[in-house]
Amino acid sequence: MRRLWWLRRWNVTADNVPALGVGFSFRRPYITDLFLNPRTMDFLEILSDHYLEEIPERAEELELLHAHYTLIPHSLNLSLGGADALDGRYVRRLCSLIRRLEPPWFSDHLAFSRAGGIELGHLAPISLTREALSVVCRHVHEVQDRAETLLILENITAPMELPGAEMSEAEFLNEVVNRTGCGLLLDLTNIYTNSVNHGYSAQEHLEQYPLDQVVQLHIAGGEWSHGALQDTHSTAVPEEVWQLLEWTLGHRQIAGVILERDEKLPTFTSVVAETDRARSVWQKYASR
Amino acid sequence: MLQAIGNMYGPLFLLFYMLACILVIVVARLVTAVLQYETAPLPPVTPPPDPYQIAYLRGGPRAVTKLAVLQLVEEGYLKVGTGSLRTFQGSQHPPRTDARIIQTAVWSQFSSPQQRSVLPGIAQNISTLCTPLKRDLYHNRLLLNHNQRIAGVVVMAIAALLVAALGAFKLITALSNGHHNVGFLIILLVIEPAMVIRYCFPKQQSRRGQRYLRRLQTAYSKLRSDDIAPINGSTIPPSLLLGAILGVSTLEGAEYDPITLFIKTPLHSGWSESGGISSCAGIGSCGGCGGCGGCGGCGGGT
Repeated sequence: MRRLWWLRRWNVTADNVPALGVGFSFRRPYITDLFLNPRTMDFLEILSDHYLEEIPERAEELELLHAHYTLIPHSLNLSLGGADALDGRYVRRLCSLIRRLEPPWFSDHLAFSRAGGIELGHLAPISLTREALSVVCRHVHEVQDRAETLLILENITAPMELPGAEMSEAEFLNEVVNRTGCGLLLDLTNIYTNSVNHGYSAQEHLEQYPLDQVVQLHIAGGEWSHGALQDTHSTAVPEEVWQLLEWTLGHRQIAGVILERDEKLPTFTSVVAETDRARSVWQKYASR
Repeated sequence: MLQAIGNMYGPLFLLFYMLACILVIVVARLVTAVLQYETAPLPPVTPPPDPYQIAYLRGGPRAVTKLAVLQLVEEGYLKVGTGSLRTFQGSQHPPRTDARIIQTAVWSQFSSPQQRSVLPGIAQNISTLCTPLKRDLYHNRLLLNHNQRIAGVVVMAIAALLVAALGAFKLITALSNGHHNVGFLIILLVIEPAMVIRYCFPKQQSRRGQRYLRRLQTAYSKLRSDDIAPINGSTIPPSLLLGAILGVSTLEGAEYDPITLFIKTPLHSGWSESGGISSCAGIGSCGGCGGCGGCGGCGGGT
């Protein structure tokens, strides 16, 4: 109830977030392209962790981007699914960044990245148990209350299914959303990647998620490595993911779609071609 | 207080004097920053502004001249020879339109081969043609207006006088006490006010203008990359934009070597061509004075 009171005060929930359109996850090599070709992106997602330290060049870059685009902070190290308490210093810095940018929402992952005070250096999947559920909900409450902004949680890829699961990821996320009022960042590529690696239908899996709480989508392309499809953000979005995007947007109006690209960066023209394609799908259903 | 300073042991006073100078510079710059403080948002960096306007903001008429030379060379109206520049034999003059009035004026100076030493003179000749550029920059408060410049000069003068007065007081006290080993003190008495003037002299750009330049440099820092997408709906060549924002001499690549070699001339015009940012990253990094050394006399003291 406490959180709901806050959300009413912020007047932002997963149901009434502003529609932003289609953008991409900002990477520094594209900065000049962005300003030479304005209006190619509706908004940008930035990696919060890059801007938490007070480095003058990054502060300058952030100020510049903020002056021209709506920025959505996407963080990696909240470790919401970890048994450890939240890293107070990290949360404080993240909240300071959020206050500066005033985004309609911010995001992190349903995962843990720290255990026993040790940084793992990657996102690890959590056991989908009732105990883990209460931990995640407690952390989401805490972060959301301190940030005074809607938090949305992203599903990650799972290289293996952890034993002892008491519910599916979709059920787990549904429960987190119901208890905390947070939103969802649905990574369609992660759903597709998991479905390929674990041999199930991505479409059927997608239908189990609480779509009415989805605020933002991620799309990207991965690569095969060691006999498994990896979520590397290094190739063009595969057709299967485009189909999932079409299906999702056909069922629910989503506030924002972000194209991710981290490795083997293509030319900006290629990035724009993909975001334009995503925008045409987004607009087709947004205008209903 | 004054008596304590007057009686201060020589080397100790020199150290105190250097620290006092640094403090005065810091305070003077802070006062200047407060006087120029503005909360209004900066002009947008996109679409890219007129390159000549950016060049004027960055380096005044000299930067505009260099940019015009770059454009004329790129368009084939001027040719770079061995250390000289002249109009291309048989080429037409650049289009005589209002928008190209500066380029035409620069072009007309090169009917015979000219050395790079002519650039400052050309800059002086075209300064009146830069009035429209200057007017827009004043309008956006990117250049210091008259009152701000006066205020900046007053702050600098007060700071320099304070430093000079402190040194002079110690010198007079030392001499009146019969100490004649005042060589280092006299050197500092000259150097420190000069340092104050160097670091507090008001630039042509306002702080807002300096911030805007930094913002442009951040936004267009990747113009050097070959992977840059074509400028959407713009006729501005990337090299011209890069030359305007970062300086013509920063252009890289074999095709620019003759022009960058020709164009590199030192500037002493009160403009900071690096983008309005002092070459000194901060007071602490300015080097200060080399220290006492312990042999030339420090102005007496007990």
